[in-house]
Amino acid sequence: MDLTVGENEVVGLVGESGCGKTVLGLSILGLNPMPPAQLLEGSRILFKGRNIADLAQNELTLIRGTGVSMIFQEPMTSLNPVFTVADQIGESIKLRLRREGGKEFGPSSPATKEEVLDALRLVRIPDPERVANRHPHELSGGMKQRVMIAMALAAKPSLLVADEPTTALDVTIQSQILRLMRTLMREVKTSILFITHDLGVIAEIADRVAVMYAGKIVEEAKVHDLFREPLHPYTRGLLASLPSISELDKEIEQLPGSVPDALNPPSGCSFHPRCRYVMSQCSTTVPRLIEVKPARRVACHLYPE
Amino acid sequence: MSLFDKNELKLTGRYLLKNKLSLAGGIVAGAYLVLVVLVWATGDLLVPYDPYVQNYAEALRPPSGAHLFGTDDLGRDIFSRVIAGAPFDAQIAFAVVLASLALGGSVGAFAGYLGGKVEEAMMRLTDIFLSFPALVLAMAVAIAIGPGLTNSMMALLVVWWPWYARIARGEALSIKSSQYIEAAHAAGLSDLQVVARHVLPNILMPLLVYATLDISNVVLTGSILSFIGLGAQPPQPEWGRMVFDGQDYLASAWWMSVVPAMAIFIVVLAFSLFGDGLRDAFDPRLRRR
Amino acid sequence: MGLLKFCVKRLAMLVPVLIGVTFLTFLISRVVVPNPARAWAGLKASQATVEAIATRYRLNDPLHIQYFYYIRDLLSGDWGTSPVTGQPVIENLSAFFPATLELSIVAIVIAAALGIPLGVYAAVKQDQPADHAVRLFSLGTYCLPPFLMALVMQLVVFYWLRLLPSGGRLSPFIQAPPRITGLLVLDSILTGNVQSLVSALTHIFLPATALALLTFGLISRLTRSSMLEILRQDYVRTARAKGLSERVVVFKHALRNGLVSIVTVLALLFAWMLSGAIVIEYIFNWPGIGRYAVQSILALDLPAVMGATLVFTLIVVSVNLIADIAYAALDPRIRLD
Repeated sequence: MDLTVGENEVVGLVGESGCGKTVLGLSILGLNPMPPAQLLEGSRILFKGRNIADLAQNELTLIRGTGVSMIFQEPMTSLNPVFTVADQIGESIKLRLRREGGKEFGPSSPATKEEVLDALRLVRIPDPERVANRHPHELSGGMKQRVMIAMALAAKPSLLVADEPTTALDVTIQSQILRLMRTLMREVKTSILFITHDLGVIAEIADRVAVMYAGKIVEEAKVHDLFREPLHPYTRGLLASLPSISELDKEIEQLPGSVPDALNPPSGCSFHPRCRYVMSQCSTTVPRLIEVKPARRVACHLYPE
Repeated sequence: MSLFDKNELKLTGRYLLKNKLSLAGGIVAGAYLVLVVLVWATGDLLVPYDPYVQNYAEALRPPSGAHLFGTDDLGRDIFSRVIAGAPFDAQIAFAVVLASLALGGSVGAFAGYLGGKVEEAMMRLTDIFLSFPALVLAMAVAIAIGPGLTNSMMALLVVWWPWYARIARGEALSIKSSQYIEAAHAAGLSDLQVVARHVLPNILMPLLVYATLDISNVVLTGSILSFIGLGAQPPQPEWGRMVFDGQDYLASAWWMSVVPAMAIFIVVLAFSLFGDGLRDAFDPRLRRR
Repeated sequence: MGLLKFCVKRLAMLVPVLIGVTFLTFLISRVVVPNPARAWAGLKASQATVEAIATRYRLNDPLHIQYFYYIRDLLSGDWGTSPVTGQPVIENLSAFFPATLELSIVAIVIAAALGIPLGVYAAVKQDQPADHAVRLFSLGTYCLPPFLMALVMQLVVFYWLRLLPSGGRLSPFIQAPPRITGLLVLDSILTGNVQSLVSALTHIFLPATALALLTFGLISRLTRSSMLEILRQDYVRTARAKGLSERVVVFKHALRNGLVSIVTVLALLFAWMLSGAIVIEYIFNWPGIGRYAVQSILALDLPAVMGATLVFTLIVVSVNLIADIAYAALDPRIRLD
């Protein structure tokens, strides 16, 4: 697994359900329950040059929120039902202030209240004073997700991991949220790792994209390049299976077979059973992720080193 | 989940065996029941001394080789009395639980199945009964109808049936829309027949699990009723009553009260542990292979 | 809907319950009893007294008329006269009520202070030895017969160790503080009477602890299962992702959600606790309604027992009402009815 997110960029991580992208996202923050999950020997998660993979939970806590933050797929259940929006956003603000060593205002002081309202305005919530005093269950799905984004950004993290934030929302709300996130990216200068299964979403929001299959990254490129010229057979298959408005008569191609069991992957290249370009070495050797062109990496035997 | 699914029982049994505390509880509870049956069947043959004969010369003796748990103020051997008194609490517990199960279970199943006004009425009725603290209501009924073993059973039944009615209603609600119920209805069976032949057998399992857990509660409440004089009457060696009789001698002969009280505690604990394990074993979320 | 509207609605639901409860006690005292007139007059009363009682309480009238007068009597404060003490039952009850109230309050505070943290601890350490130990201890104390607990405590602490007094609310050598609330500890504090405060505290300690130990098991078990459920929730994961410390996550975010079910438990508990209080009060000679109930039973004093029954039930019903309102206050989702 080898992925880099630079400053000020949106990196998309795309793959089908079950390929492990959520697990990746949770692992960055150490939120995977550790008894079942395990970090392999020698694995590194570098945050601003520092390896956080080995940190204990209480040390990881210091990174969360202000260093790396995360928003989740289900806005319905991801907000605490007994606290108001203002309380929950206020928590992030106070956390940031405490870590910056700045003055920490009281829970309902006007300064904190004003910052909360600013956070809500940032995510373009209409009538922020009213929304601030509401409880999560009184808000719509789209509003809740905006609140989550506001809460995550209020701590001014360097990296925001967004795990399918729009999947549970209506299509119209979905595009609103995506537009919002694109705007915010420019305003707030937070990098985003955007995890999704939807290539259309990637096209709208990402600068670079990594394609994941069966727990491994198989291709990485700038968004434009990937869509124009997909290299890996899996990526080609994904793009070919997208319905296109401009070619209404085109038959939608389907990738044969189904996603492999993550605990029992096929030998060699995990994709080889479904690949139309399969060669003899594909079932024996695992292809490495190599840079075939500047800013383009593929893991496929079609592109030897 | 039907009552006699062999696979289910095997899984349950295996889970039960893994939980050592529950197993211990089950063994003790089983031993107690065996004792009860033996005492009930053989009468006074098991006990070293006659539980009723008074012997002032031996009064208030501490535990010793001759008297394992000492003697009481009338010289009776406490060990013998505890053994002889074992059946009383078991009798009360099983009678009350089974009767509540039958009565409450039927009422609840019917109400849950029929729905509407009938169900509403049953809920209001059980609400009222359940507003009374269990012991308090049992006390009130018991003193109204008079003390005695059978009377205390009836008092406890009055208090206990609503719990089973509620559970039965809940279970009936959840299977009300099952296909076989609809089929039975469509086949022309009357409501009574549907409830009797299809609803009741299928809700029996969860009710039984609850009943097993409940036995310890009835023993506890029943022993308190006896303690305050509303249960079996002296000279019957009922454990709760024995605790009461021994109170005045707490300083000089603590074994008089503490021994029967400990006996009650052990039985209640055993049934509780076993019932807990049983309930966990039937909980689909907790079962592990 | 707002909290206020919820309260009003809830209070309205109280009325049918009260009618049902009083009807049941009415049935028990007039219909279930084989000879109500004699039972209310007392076993030693003369035939003339029995007949006078029958007339006074209209025991020969049809049931619905009897019930009407029964309610009227209850509301006007005529709860019958105890053939044993010769006093109106309601006077006895109000004399003994503060003692039971005080005992219950102290017991519940101890039980919650013990049970809630233990439950949280067991949930956080799920399936580890600490968890098993807490669960066993909780189950064990729940199964303890109240008289075993009380007698052993008396035996060990009073008779053998001579540490604490064995009965009563106050040492007979100390003058009680003037009666403001009837709660001795509170009255002592309010009037600045240190001597009686100390005496009241040492006297209440044993029975309250016994009562608390009987009930804390339930609190701890239910806190544990509620916390286990909550710690699995998405919003707990969000709280961690925000960078909050584990302590804040557990005690602020998780527990606050668990409070709702804990409050419900405390209400349920109260009923259970009152049942235990009956035995505890009797054994520790605590002059409350519980002891009064037992003494009345031993004396076959029916009016007194029925009076005590009604009081106990009314207390439980009130506590349930308060719990429902607290429930709505704690969880804003409940108010949307």
